[in-house]
Amino acid sequence: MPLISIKNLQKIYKNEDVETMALAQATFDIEKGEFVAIMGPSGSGKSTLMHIIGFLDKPTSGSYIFNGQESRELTDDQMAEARNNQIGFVFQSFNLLPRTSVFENVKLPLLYSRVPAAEHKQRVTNAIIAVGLEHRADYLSNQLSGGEKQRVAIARALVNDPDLILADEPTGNLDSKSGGQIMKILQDLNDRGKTIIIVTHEKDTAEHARRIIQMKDGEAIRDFNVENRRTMRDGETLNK
Amino acid sequence: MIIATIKLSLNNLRKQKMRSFLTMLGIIIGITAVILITSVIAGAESLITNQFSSLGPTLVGVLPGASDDDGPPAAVMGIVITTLTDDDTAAIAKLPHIIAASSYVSAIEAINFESQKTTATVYGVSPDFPAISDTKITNGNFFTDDDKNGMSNVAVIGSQVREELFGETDALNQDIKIKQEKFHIIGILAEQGTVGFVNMDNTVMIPISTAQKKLLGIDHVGFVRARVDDEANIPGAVEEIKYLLRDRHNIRTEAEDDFSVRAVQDALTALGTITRALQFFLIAIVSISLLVGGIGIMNIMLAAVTERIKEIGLRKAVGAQRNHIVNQFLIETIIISFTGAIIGIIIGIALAYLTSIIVNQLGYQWDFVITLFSILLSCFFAFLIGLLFGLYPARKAARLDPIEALRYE
Repeated sequence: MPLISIKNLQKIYKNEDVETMALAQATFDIEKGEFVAIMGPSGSGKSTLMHIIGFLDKPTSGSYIFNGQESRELTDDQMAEARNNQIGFVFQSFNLLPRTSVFENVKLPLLYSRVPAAEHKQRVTNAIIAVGLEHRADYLSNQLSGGEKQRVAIARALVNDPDLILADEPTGNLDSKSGGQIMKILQDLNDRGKTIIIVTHEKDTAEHARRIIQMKDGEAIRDFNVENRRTMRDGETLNK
Repeated sequence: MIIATIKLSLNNLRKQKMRSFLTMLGIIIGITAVILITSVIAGAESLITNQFSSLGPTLVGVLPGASDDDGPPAAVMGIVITTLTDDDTAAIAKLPHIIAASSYVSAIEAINFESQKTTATVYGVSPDFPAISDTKITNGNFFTDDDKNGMSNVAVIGSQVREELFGETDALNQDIKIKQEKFHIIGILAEQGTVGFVNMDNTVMIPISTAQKKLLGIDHVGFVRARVDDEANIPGAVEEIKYLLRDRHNIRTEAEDDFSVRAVQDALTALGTITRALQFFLIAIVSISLLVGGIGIMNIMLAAVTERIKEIGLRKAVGAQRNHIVNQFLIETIIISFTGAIIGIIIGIALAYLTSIIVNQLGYQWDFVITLFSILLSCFFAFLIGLLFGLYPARKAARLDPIEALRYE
């Protein structure tokens, strides 16, 4: 059974009687352990697709099955629960809590999980070590550089040990050096078995993935494996 | 989860100390008022009760002019009624359950001794006065029926008057001057403090007849006080006095009464009713200020929701369910109003304590009373306000769509 199974997915937004078709047609499966880039220009429907995959939104029609659960059958609270323990989000603008320590930021998803409080400290510490920020654990989020902020966001996404990491333009707000570090962390996580989906409009960023799903005008028009995959070594900068 | 939320709320409040304080201000003022008002009313009640009780529970007063049992006497309206006389007092004193009765007239006068000068309340009273007012004479004697009948110029002075005019020297048998009349001091009153709101230590007592004729030029008396032999006989005695005075004043029906008779006990009962009514009235007003305070909190919380839309979006994205968000905001408002209440309680107690110290300094007995009821009431109000005015902003926050909230700039 694939981790993600998407069939004839459609999303129509209604705004004051004007209907906008944000997503017209998408059908694909993603297996456990894959590293997929959803690529396309703005307006191509890739954000909508990401919202649906991330249980932030429900499709208008079609089917989205994640780990055997059909998203349309879930209540709001069940969607929240799925976001909490099955998916880790990484956003373009980091979205850390301001004036709050790295430790507390990473801990955030645990507050809404069933993980016993006794395990919180160990889990947060492990996640912070995984992104190499153990020397910054007590820093406040606003004392960090952009790249460090995004690493905190990845640690936060990891803390609940989700089945999928969903990253929306994770290098979009970063310089090429920091961007390189982020892509390396994501590739390392993938090498250790994490399923990762990144959404990007940059071809170079997308080519760090193993597979690219190309979106255009609300449709998934191409789905192919990356032949000359870019792999990051320590200190390498991202080609933008 | 709850503990984490409380910690989070405390952190949020600490990060914006000034704003948190301003948000609480309405609650602080309201709760301070609740504590202060209940304490001041209890203190005032104790003060008035003490003043009346010091007169003794068996005291009955006769005032010139009609009044119904609860309304103010005629003198309050500035009407002078001249029908009550010292002969009435003598007749009252002869009634079966009456131990003693005294007429009273009074005036504030300058008192002179050689070059020393002071101002005191001069009372013209009957020789029975010590029995009525439970006054002791430390030095010398009180004047007698002979002094009254002979309109003697004799005076018994209060301890404060003695102190101010004579200092350390002996006052007995000295002559003082009131309105060009010379008075021979025959006694000194024991220190007594205030009784019935009169500072007994700053008075000069002279025979009623002397005061009426030589100082004031009147025939009537200001009021009469009589002592009843037993508390159980008070209602009967009151009726007998009324009957007697109607007979003496040729009055046929109650409606034509030109006097009123009051017992101290009735005054205490009336007082209790008044203070309770006052308390409820003031607390009703305070409730309005608390309501305003609550609306203030709601206003700030609504602003906080807008300010933290992105944060709420993030929390929802990483798995916060609706009730998590509702709890977070609700707990925050309850903490705000509760902290406000605690500050208000502390300030209220401090102000009430200050009031009691000041009033006691002024020579009145004022009890410092903080009731558990007022504190529980304050906490209850605070909790209710937090819950009531926090619910709307909290629900508004919880209903936000995570996608839109995350995009919000």
